[in-house]
Amino acid sequence: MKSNVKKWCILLFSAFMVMCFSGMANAEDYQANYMAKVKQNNDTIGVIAGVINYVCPKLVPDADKICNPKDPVGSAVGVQKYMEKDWDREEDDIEDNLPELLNEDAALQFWDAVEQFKLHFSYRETAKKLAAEKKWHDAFLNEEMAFQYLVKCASRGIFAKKIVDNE
Amino acid sequence: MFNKSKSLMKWILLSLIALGLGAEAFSQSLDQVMKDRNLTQQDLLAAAKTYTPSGKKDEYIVFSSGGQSGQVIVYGVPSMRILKYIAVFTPEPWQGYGYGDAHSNKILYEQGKVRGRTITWGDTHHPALSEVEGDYDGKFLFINDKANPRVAVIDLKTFTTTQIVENPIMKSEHGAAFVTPNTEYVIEASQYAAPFENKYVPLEEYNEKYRGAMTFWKFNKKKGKIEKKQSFSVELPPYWQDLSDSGKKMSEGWVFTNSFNSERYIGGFGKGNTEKWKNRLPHEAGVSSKDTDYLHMINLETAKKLYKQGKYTIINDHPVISMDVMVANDALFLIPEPKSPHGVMIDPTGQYITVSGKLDTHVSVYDIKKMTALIDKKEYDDTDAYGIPILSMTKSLHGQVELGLGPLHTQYDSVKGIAYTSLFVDSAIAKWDFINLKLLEKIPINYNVGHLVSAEGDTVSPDGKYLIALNKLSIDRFIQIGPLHPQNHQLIDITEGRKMQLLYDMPIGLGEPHYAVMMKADKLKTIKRYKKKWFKHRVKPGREKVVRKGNKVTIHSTLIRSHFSPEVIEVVVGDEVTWHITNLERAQDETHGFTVDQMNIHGSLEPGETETFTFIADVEGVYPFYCTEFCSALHLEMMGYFMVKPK
Repeated sequence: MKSNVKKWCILLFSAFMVMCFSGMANAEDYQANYMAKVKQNNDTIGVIAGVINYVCPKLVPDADKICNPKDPVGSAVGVQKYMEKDWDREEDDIEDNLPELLNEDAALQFWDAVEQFKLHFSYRETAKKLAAEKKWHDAFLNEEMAFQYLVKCASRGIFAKKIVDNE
Repeated sequence: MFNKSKSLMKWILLSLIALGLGAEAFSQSLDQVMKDRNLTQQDLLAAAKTYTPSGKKDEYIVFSSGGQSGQVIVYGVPSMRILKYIAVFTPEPWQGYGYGDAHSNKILYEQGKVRGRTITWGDTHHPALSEVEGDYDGKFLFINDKANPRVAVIDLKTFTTTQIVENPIMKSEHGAAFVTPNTEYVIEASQYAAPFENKYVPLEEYNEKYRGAMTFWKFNKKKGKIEKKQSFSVELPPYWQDLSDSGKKMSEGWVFTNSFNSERYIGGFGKGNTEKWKNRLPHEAGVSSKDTDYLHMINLETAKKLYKQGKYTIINDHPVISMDVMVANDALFLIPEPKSPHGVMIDPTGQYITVSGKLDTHVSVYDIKKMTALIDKKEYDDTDAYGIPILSMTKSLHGQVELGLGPLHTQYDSVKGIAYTSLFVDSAIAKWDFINLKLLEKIPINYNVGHLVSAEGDTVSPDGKYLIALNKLSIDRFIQIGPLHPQNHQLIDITEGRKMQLLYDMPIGLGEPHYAVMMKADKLKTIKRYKKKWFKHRVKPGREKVVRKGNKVTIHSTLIRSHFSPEVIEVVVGDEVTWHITNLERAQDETHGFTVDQMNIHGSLEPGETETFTFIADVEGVYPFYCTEFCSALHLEMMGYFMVKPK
């Protein structure tokens, strides 16, 4: 499992780098690029799900109640909610009152990964709407923005994994 | 079947041998490394004692003065890995200190002014950690500036400078920073005597109008600030005061400083001197002509009462208690000490006070019980030219020990009665027993050790374990990098029951560190990020805007991986720009840098932090602005355009 996650992480970043250097798309390519980006985002979410399932039980006690391999997004939000139970986010006193954690440093990285993940949703929704209107350029840009948040999520998720693995 | 298993076993065995040989071929034995690198068993032992594997943290943290850099150097022990240079008296671009951010500009360029003059460097000498009952509490660090008499406060929650105070009466200082056992006061003593008033006074009037002083800066721990309006100074004779220390436990309530020009000599050596002062021998001869100088003993408790009673004179808007008032209230005494000393140190019990005269081979150990007994009986040998009572040196001494050439500074061990003294001329550290008055052991160092620091070695409960020699010269220790050599901090194992062992040489390539303090790292209570609500001008996400009032433009912006908001801003030539910028990150270590090209501004925005920059958009053009800290995969894309249109 550990090596699978590592493999996926490498694949994810390879894909990301390919996308970064794949050159400029012309207007006709936007639809195709949008479709490709949707696929890439779906694949990325798959990798993120793998990381969540791997890391989740190593962060919180009573993991059975929070971590559910069949629902990685639910697991991630569960970890966040568990961590935030005594926080006042408005008052910005996060991490002042941390509950019992199996690995505090990793959990704080994971918490930020979830924050980044949550930010990708609205861009994907907007992208879908724009695609329905065949506004492929804007749809592509929104899907790309969603990808950026997924990368940020993955980046912090990998930090969490490195910390729990003591790498 | 049996044969098959036998051949299988043979195959496995052969494979294992082959694998073993292969592994051997690719692995390195310790012996081989030792041979290749010409290392001894002692070297390996030293390496094992200092090597800190990746991810492991040091047991101790050292705060070292950064000398002429005006900064503080922070590193870990035993690894000797540098962690940070804290910007204090000098602009520091990475931390965005003094490069346009209103907060640091205020500290550095407003609070830091000396007689109205902006000063952009400092000569930091002696850091001091805040204490509770004589033990470090890990909350604040204080550091002095010898060249431009100032003291700075560093908040160890953030490792940033939060205040600089100018000394209103001193023209030169050295005996700072030292703290009283509960950090009620930060002590600053002058060095080269000068008139308190900011005016010309001829040297002929040296004895009458030149003075030394000790300032007691009241520190408010809750606010983390020096309260200038509750601080005061005590006038001292023009004897060139040197290092200071506050009494503790048995000597609590007393403050000490030594001196090195009780001769009140003025030099004038060589051509080019003012007519009246020519053809004299230089200061170094006259200042060390007497066998003894004076250890000063100040009763802080009485001085506090005198200050509260208003028995002071206001000089440069600052209360100064005169020597006459101090003497009349039995609050100021002198005791002869070996000449040209550097350092007065109080042992963990507060009973023994060690003074080393650089030109004497002995260290002198005074006993506070004997000193106060003489004071109680009003038994004085004499008074000095200013009427200050002089206690008998012989009757105040517990004893003297001959340690070697150029004893300079002392630190204490966890073992009762054990101290370490640097020997400047000998280039050695002496371990000795200050109760039974005997030298125990010496270890050579490289070269000319000034101060030294042991783990929590100036507190009421030193830890022993490690000692660092802060050497002035390194000569042949490191790769030659030109004629200016790095300083050399040498780590020494002083664990009880073993001989001292030199473990590590660390080059310091940033000024000449004078003194350092070493604290158990787990005492730190640093924050991981700022809380946005701490900042008056914080910008909330979604509330970014640009507001114009006449030619004043205020930009309320945010940054987060990997974009600024707003990203395109347009102003007109001549606009006065105020730019509030908030780092919205909550993740640890997600710092963003901020600069507008060609505007000479730079900020380092740690997670949650807001900074404010002000400048005039004086020249039309296109100015990219960007994040200067590699923050994320799309860091390079984190930029914007600041457009300055012609009128």
